[in-house]
Amino acid sequence: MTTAGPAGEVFDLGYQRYEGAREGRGRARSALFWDGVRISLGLGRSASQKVLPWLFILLAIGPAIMIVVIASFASQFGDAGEILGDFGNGSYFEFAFVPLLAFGVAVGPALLCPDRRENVLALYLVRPLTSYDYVAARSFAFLAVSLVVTYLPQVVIFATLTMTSRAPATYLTENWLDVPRFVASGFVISVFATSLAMAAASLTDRRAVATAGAIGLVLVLAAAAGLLHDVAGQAGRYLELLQVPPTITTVNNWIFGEEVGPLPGVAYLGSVAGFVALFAVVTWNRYRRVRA
Amino acid sequence: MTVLLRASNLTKRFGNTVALESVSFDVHDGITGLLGSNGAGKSTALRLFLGLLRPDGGSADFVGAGTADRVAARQRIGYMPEHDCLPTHVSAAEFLTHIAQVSGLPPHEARTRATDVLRHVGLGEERYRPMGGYSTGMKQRAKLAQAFVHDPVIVLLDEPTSGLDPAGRQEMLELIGRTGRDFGISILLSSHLMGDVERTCDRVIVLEGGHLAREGEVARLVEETETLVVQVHHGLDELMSTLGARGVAARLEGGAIVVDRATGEDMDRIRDAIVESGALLYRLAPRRHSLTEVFQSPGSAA
Repeated sequence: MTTAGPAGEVFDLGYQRYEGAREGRGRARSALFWDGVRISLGLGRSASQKVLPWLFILLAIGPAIMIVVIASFASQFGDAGEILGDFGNGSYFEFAFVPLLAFGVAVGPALLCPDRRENVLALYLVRPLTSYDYVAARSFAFLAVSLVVTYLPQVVIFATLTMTSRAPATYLTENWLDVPRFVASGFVISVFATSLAMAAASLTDRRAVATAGAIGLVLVLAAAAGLLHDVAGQAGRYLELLQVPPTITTVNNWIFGEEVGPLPGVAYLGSVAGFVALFAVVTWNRYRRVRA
Repeated sequence: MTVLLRASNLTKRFGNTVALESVSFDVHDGITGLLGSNGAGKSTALRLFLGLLRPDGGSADFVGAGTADRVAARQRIGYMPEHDCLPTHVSAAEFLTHIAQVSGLPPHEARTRATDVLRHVGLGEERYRPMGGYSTGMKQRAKLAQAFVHDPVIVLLDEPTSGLDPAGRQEMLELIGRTGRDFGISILLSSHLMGDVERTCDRVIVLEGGHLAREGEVARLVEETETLVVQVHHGLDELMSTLGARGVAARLEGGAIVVDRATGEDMDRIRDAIVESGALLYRLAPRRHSLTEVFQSPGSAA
């Protein structure tokens, strides 16, 4: 007759003190950054929290998918790059800028608004970081996601046009400058969208209000510039710099070496830089009041 | 006893309102109650210790942190706010892992500690549920868990039993007592409920209108008095008349017989009166002060 051996035992060790490493402010910033990336993509959240970011990501990369499909189809009849003509890396942001901006203002506020609305900010600010660390980590997290969403379609387009070209090596040598150009242009778009989203989110604890406010600002500026253009005489052409979509697409065209006007390309870049600086000051000032 | 927090001539004003006026006290290791009515300055004191507010005068120092860097010191302090502060769409396990990392712990250790701490507060089974669906009691437990997930030296609790029913309140106080005594984490418990402080704390600091009213050990403040309390199951009236006949100055108070400044002779007379009246004795004991009585009678022991 055999008897069963002793069953496994579970020991409750009770509460264990933590004697390991404490990595301080650097770890705190890094944790906030990666949490911001996860929020931007809806990772670790319920399905309903995933819908919005991925919907806008699909919209943002939609033009690239179309270009890739057309290029693949066109390559059966000849050189896809020649058939597509102007549709390529240089013109991509002209189509994708609005969806990319929409992604920014719709998803970006999710990194700041809920923390204030649900008072989670009170828990962050008693940790080893300052309010500036917090807002900087969140902003850089969204900028990183935004850059990926901006660059990925450009990389795919460039690779597709290269691979579907009759002479890929020739295509590369003739068009390699497109890579630093779309990197620079995408950076401008991402920084603008991120700074606008963060500034709007810093002024309210409701995401929808922040999104509506950001879109409203862009529309009001465009309308005001349009109305004043005719009455402002010679100065009217400078009002064009307040119209966000044409200003940013002009910056893109200038970076890709096209003729721009009526003002020099650097003026449009200066306008975008001015907006970014203004939005950064608004965000910084709002979080300056939250001392930690 | 080790001093963990030190307020020195601490002053804080909000416009014309004085929240704290030149207050000085030390918070030692163990469980300390910060007692006072609404507006007494308790939450302001906590926020000053946490560095969320800047004092207008004096200082609020975390001397037990072992560092002069106020931001780095926050690795060793925990805080449970009174109001809701939990993200609704995130599970407790994920949030505690994240908040432990924000407190400076490496990712693997953060994950392990989040699981352990949630088990200790009784949320082990519920840790993967979004916290928006938690009951009030579960939310309070999750709030307590996030306050000590990084194993701090001291945890500051702001009205931790707020919004709980009597059973939930009792459970929370037991959990706080266990955190302080079994886990070895010191606690500063801010409350306007004297019963909570009396049941849980070793020491108490009382603020009134922004001033320090009293401080001391709870056991000494509620020590025995010369007042004797007699409780019987029946025969109360017969016992009262017998005591009167024997010259004992007794009075009725809430169904009990109270004898103030009872002497040894009084004790003998009370014993004889109980026997003579045939009353069924339930309790005969010296009265202990409650904190309520202590703080309602200025000039008594402190």
